[in-house]
Amino acid sequence: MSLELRGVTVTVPDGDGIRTLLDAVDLAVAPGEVVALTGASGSGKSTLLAVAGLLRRPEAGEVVLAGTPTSGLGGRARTKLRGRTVGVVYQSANLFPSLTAVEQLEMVAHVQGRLDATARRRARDLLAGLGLAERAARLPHHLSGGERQRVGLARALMAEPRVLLADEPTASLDPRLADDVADLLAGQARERGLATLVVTHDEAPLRHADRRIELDGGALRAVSVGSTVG
Amino acid sequence: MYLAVRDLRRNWRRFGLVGLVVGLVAVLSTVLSALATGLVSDGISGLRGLPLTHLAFEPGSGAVFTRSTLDARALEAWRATPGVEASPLGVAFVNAAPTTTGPRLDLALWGVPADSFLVARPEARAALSGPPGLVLSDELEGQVEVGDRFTVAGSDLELPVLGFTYSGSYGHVPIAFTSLATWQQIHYGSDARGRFSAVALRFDGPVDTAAVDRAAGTATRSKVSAYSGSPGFSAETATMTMIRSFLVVISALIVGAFFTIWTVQRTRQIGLMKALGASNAYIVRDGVGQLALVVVFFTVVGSAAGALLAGVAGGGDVPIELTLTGTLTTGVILAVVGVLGSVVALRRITRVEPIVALGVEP
Repeated sequence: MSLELRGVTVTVPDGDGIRTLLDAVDLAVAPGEVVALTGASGSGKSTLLAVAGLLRRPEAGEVVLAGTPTSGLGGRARTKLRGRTVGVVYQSANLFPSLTAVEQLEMVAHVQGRLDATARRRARDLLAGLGLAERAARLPHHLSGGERQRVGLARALMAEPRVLLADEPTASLDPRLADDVADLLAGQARERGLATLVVTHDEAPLRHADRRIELDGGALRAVSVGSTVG
Repeated sequence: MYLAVRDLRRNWRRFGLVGLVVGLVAVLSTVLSALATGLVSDGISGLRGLPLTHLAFEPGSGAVFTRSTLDARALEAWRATPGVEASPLGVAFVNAAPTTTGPRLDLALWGVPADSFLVARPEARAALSGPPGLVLSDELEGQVEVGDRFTVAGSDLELPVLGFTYSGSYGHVPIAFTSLATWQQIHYGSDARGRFSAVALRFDGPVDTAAVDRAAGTATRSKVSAYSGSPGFSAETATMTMIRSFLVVISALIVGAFFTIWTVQRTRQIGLMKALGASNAYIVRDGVGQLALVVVFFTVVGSAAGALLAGVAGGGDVPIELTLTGTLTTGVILAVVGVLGSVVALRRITRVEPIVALGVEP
């Protein structure tokens, strides 16, 4: 498995008490598998995604990324592993406003100290592969919503990750664009063998997922593919 | 600094305001630096220019010439000290009125014997060894001509202008040299009794000044420490130092406040950088580097503008003296302190959690 969560527990302060967002959650996503995660607002979907992407530590449990158990890793090692193993597609793309499309990708290589001619070529190839060759020099505010989200996907793929996480990737798109982006995301995940977890409220990502799970009361339960979003 | 440089290039207006403030502080600091240098020169350039290393004053005079009176006993004790050249020196502030037409002059009247080591040039020795007269600071050249006659207030002694020399100023008035005998006549009238203000000293090597001071009845100061005896010198330099220090602190605080607000505004961007795998060191380099570019650029521009302004304002009544060292030192201090001001936000950067990239509170 490229992504495994074993007995992951996350709690958050809630007034005078504590609320359990994730209660000993187990999850495994295989290479090339696309899993859609649904759940009510505030149920902890984004928190689960954050734990899976090493963006926060759980109170208990283990996250295994590309075969590497992470609970014993220090901050620097987690940052390094996250940068090289996990790609994240954000809601509304979350692009750097002052970087062009191609620079969004080059930035990933720069952060990892690997920005050279090969990385620059790879950034252009990735954009071209997602139909953005002509948009490479555009700043985010000169791109459409769908284009921005595709740039976000290309950026997530730039580091050649083993795990792809997407947080409401189609939430800000109209239904037709949402389906295009969801199709692209799932297609790239399968083509590159990425263990993919997509948090969504939308129908589009569900249609392209291999498996659907729902987070309810801190626990995961499987939902048959094709069910209506709750 | 991949993001920082592009951010600056494409959003330079955002940094314009803090840049303007840094630039204006640099303008003001440069002008004040030139003014401080000018005031120092105006206060002590005459003393600084003399080829002496130390001055012996009357004990308790606080290196103030006009409070110090010495006589032959002190001079002989110093002259008897091996490795020391000693010369009597009289200093008084006088007003000289022209006998015909011309400006009234406020002068620092310095009386020295013609054979003193303080008088190095032969023509100066010749002038001081002849009939009584005044050798004026060259800054008065143009207002006064050789041969013009002046009556020194209080003594009614009428003296001709013998020539000009680079003698600078002391206590913010031009220096006029005259022979020690003439100075004594102006200062003490007919009852000089060999008195003068201080003993000018030139040491060839180490001297046990305490021992000689005991024998001579003097209090010896180095040339630099004797600057404080110039009227208003200590108060002026302390005031200028205080103003410039405040400017530096204000600049640092402004930069620190800007960087703190800027860091808060881009919290999600910082979280995103961390989510992409950027270390704290990478983000700090990026942020501080960005601000350093802004601070250095605007400090250079401000310092250049300040130098230009000081150049235009100098030469009149305002004692402005622009020096490359002073301008560079001021600029470097402002730039360094400005960048240090940004350090206050570093902790905020390191505390941003990568989860904020998802829009989730940590």
